[in-house]
Amino acid sequence: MTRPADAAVPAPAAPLDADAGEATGQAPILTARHLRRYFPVPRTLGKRGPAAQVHAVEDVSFDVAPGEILAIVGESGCGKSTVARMLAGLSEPTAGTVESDGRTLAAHRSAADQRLVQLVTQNPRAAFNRRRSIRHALHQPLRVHGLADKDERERRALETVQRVGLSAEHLDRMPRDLSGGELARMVLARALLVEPRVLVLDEPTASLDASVKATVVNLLLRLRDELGLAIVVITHEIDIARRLADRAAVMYLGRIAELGPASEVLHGPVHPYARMLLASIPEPDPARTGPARAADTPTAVGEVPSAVAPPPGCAYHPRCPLATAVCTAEVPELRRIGAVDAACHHADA
Amino acid sequence: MPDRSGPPAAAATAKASAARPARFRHLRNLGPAGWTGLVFVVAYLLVATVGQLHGSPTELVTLGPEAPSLAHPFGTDHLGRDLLARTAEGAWTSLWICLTSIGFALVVGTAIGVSAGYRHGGRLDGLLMRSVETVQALPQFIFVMFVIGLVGTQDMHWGPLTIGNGVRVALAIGIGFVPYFARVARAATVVEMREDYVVNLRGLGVPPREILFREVLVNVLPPVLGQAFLAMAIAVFAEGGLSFLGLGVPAPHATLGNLVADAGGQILGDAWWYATLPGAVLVLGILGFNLLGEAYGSRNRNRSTRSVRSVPAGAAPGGTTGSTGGIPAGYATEETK
Repeated sequence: MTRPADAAVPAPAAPLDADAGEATGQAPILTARHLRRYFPVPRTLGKRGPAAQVHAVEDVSFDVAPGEILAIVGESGCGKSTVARMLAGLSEPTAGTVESDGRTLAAHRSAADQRLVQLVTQNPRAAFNRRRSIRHALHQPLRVHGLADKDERERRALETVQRVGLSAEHLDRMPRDLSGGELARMVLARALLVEPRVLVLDEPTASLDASVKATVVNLLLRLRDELGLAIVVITHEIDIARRLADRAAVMYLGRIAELGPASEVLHGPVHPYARMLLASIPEPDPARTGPARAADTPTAVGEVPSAVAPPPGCAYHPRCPLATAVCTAEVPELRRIGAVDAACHHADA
Repeated sequence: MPDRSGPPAAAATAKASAARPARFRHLRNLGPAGWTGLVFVVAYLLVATVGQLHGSPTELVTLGPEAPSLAHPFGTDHLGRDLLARTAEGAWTSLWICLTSIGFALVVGTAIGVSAGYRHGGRLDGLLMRSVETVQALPQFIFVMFVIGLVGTQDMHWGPLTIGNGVRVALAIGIGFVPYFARVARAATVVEMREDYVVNLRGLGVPPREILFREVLVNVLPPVLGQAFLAMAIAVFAEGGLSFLGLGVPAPHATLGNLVADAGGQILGDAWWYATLPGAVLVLGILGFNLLGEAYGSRNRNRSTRSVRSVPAGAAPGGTTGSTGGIPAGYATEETK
């Protein structure tokens, strides 16, 4: 967070990070404010005492502006997908709020609020009911929201399908008759039908071929430009994030380690974890991209600690080469370092 | 599908079979066991209908038991009644009792199972499944005997309503089957609720009622219907068994069970046809429904695995090349022919 710890209680509409909407000059459309999500660990029969909890997400805050793409990157289990579900209103935050246009979205969203943020899940093949036609799937959201009568629904479905590069003929098919790339675009079409202002994509390219990935990435960029959508992309694929994002956040063990412009965060981060994450990407062609930079990057030791009992202080300190006594005692706040915000006691630009 | 790779002939066949009504496609995929089952069931229904046209099941047409002849293809019983007509009546009675009981169990069991599966792990789940298991505590046949033993086999009169024993047998068998349907429906619902499409529908703002009854239910029904065919075979057997023990539909109404029971004493007296022919019809029914159920169940399993396997083999390569070829040039023109 950019805000100093001793600042007065913030006005609800104040953006949390000043960079939001820098590119477009617009106020944020979606704000995550101090989101936390704990999951209870199932207890062994007869065991007493307070139930253990998985700290999936711990104090995550960010803004997204219309026409902006924010990438959230991090390794498996860092809480990315849980953030996505909370943004889309599918999972209730343990603490914290999701706000839109300065208005807090209730835990159980109204139909209109539910349309506002659309989640697209990872596997397009599983995203459609296998016994229902694509036409049924595309008419359904319009019908349940009472957005259009039957002819109007068909017209809008067709229009949206063409917008994502498919045709009327695809409407008559069953999901199993479409290829992975076609389905990925069809899932986007369905989400767009309810006229959302924010798209949350959970690993949009993880289950696709390399060639189809490019298609989907180009489509997302085009949709952002045409519709002025705010897009949150949750991914572990750094190259996809680099291609798409205006801003990026790196998550580690439920917290944001670094947040800022994608050009900084995904190319020259300051947080030791973010640097380790980028350095661990295998370089396919060292001759073109330069030699591996592992030597000049602080290396991590050991494994990711358990989210049931996260380490005190900075969550990364047991693995961090820069760690000192202060790291074990105090949780680092996000502070401005150069162009980015990083949660580290020792990082400097 | 313009971009499907593969020989044109195969594509044409696939298209033709997709266009044909689903019912005929099912028939083609039955397999030898399924076909045998179908033939048996048709034979059972044939005996049940032709026999009723053949004559009255209660009229005394001969002086005593007579072996099968042209006039009486199944012979006559110890009172001289035409056995084909009686077998037909019995087959019909068995059939409607079974259909009623399975229909009842299907509706009630699916409703309970889907509700329990939707609230998987919750209090409603526990309450519903534990109550259903109470019924299951007794073996099904014993349970039905217990119920019929309690209420007796005579007609019951509730005001203007007369409830014959057939209805009670049907309901008792039906209640006995509810746990099986509830269990299958619950298991299928639990699996379906974890599918991505349910999350997507919730995210789109589709109400839970619609997700459950218009989306999840269509995926839960096929395994439940498979169970229904198998249960049908057991119900034919159970009804026959109850009538055999005198707990089913009382005489003079014929059922396959009480025909075989009546024949018990006659077999020694050289009247081989009396027990054998109605018994054979009973076997036709049990075996037929059982084989059909098996065929239906395995077809479902095959179809679900086939649709997964066909992804890399068929749809993906064609679709992928089509997409990547077209997209960079322009989205709108791609794959629109």
